[in-house]
Amino acid sequence: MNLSILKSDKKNLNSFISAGSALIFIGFIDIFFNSFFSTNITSFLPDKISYLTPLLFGLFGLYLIRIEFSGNKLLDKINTNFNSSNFNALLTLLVIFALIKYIPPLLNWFVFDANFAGNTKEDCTSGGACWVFVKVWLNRFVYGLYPDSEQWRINTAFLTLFLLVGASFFVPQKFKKYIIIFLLFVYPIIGLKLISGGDFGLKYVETGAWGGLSLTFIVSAFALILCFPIGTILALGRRSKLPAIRYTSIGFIELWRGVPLITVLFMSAVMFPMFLPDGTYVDKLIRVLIAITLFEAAYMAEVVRGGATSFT
Amino acid sequence: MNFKNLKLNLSNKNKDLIPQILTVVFLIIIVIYFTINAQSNMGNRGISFGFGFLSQESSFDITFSLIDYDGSHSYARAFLVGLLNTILVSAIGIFFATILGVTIGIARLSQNYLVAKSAEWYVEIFRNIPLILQIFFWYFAALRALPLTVDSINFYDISFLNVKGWYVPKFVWTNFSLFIYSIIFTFILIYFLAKYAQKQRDKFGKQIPTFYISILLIIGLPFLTFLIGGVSLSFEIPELTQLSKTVYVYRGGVSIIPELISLALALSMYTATFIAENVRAGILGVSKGQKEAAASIGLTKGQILKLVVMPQALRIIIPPTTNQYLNLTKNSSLAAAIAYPDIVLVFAGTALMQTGRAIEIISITMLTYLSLSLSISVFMNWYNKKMAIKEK
Repeated sequence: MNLSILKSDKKNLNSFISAGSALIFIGFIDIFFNSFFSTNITSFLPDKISYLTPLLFGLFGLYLIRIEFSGNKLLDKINTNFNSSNFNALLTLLVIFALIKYIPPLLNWFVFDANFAGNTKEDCTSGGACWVFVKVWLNRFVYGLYPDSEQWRINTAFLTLFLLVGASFFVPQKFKKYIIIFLLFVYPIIGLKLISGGDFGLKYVETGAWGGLSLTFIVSAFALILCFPIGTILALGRRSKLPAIRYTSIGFIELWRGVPLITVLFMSAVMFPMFLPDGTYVDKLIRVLIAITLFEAAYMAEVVRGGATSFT
Repeated sequence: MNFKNLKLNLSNKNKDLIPQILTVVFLIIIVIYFTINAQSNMGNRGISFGFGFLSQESSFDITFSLIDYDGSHSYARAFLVGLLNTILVSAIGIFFATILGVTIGIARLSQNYLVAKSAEWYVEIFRNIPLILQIFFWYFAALRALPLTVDSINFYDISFLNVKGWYVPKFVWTNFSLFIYSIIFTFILIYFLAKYAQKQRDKFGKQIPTFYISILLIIGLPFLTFLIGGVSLSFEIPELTQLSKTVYVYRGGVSIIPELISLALALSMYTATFIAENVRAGILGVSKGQKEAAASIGLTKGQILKLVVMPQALRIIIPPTTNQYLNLTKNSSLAAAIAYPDIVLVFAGTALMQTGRAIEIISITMLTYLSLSLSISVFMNWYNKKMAIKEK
């Protein structure tokens, strides 16, 4: 045993490791008791020192086990990844202590103290999260105000979509082309008709009743499909040699990229109807779709342009 | 003369001309069509196009304003209040996003596994949650859980945080203008000092410790105004006053409304993830050989960072980061969702509802954002040109 010179080296590997790990262990025990049983085991020390004890113990312990090329693989790994310098050791300890202190309360709130059973507000008795609320409202979150009896239409539309997308991965190369063409050009119309209804004995559901997660998917799917070709045309226009086309594209792209999405939506909601002949009514959902598509197309144009410029 | 050639040239010109003319004609037709429709629509509703309404009395109140404002002021003034609020939240957001982003970006490159992983988790989590949800989280979940005014969280008896907002001391200055002039003067001085130091280094190879002298100047000169110029500073600390049996308010000081806090928090934490990625890309983008070469000619670690790595990394970092600043400014328009009185809520919201002048108001709002974006991107293009590597 030769701990008197407090610089660790290979000779006294085992004693240094045991002393160091013991110190680190004390540090962890301290913080553990503090956060789980709210007792301070070092309360006999002055206030400020007691607050820092786990850190001090941990730092000193990590300092002792910082032995380069010890030959022990695990120790070397720990030292290079967590403990390469005093500063790194401090960061390691701070991260671990923060995790111990903040993860359990969060878990408690989200899972252990939370309420899952029941159907009303009064069932949320314990202090944690009230998942009952989510359970009761789940239908509205997914389908919005879409009538309950017609929800199978949304389900069918999305299930068919997923099946077709999945199928396109597994069918032979020959048919893949047709599936993709069908998905891009035919299916959107069929899906939209299925969800909105009005023909083929399906009840008409106005777009005001659509909502929730399904509407999010519908809007993003259409914007995704439509913004790519428009964006490509704009990008090509921006790279065109013809000044009129180039400046039109630049103007269009910079106009949309320079304004926030929310003002674009405002515009489509209150300003756009003023520009149409009196009496024409364009559905709100379609207006929003056009707005988002054009907005995203401008961004897509810059992406496509970036790709095109990179290999000239 | 070769007529064949001439003909070919002419047809080539035509080939270029036709699509251009078509585009221009198409644009003109659209504009005329929209104008005619707009005119007839406005004629039907009995409103005429014009910006005269801007000078009318607005007669609505705004909860938070940096300049003097109440209902008796004009719509133009309301627009200004909204614009200033937008600029305020953007400036706060940009400041904290930069600090946080640089820290996280460097942390992601740390040798320490835990630090690098936590930074990575932070980036992946906050980048992939829609910004508006983050704003809602801070406003409706986090800040609503704060205590009531009576038992607010007390920071050393000078600042108080409660559900109504954050009350901080107000700076009360005398001779404030002199103080500002001294700071401006200091910056001019530092600029010339830096120029002089560069000249000395290039000509004679002398190193002047510019950094320390600048710090001395920044602290020293404004401090001198306190001693000589009669500048003084005192704090007005917010005080808890009881209005009735159960109603308490804080008087004095500055109150930062929760809408501003949550918006600034969400914006800076969201944008910080993108800045962190830019910083990481910038530092990784400097090749290892550069650092090794610098080390081999005997530069110290600090010198390598300052003279070799940073100048090259900044060239990669700054353009996309400015883009993020712009995005932050545009994203601040989501303020309307939690009723922070920014330009969209005040002008495109309340003022539009009152006057019904959709075309004018939306165009003004869009033009404001557009000119903000365009001026910054013009500046960035100039900066990029200036900073680009000039091969000799």
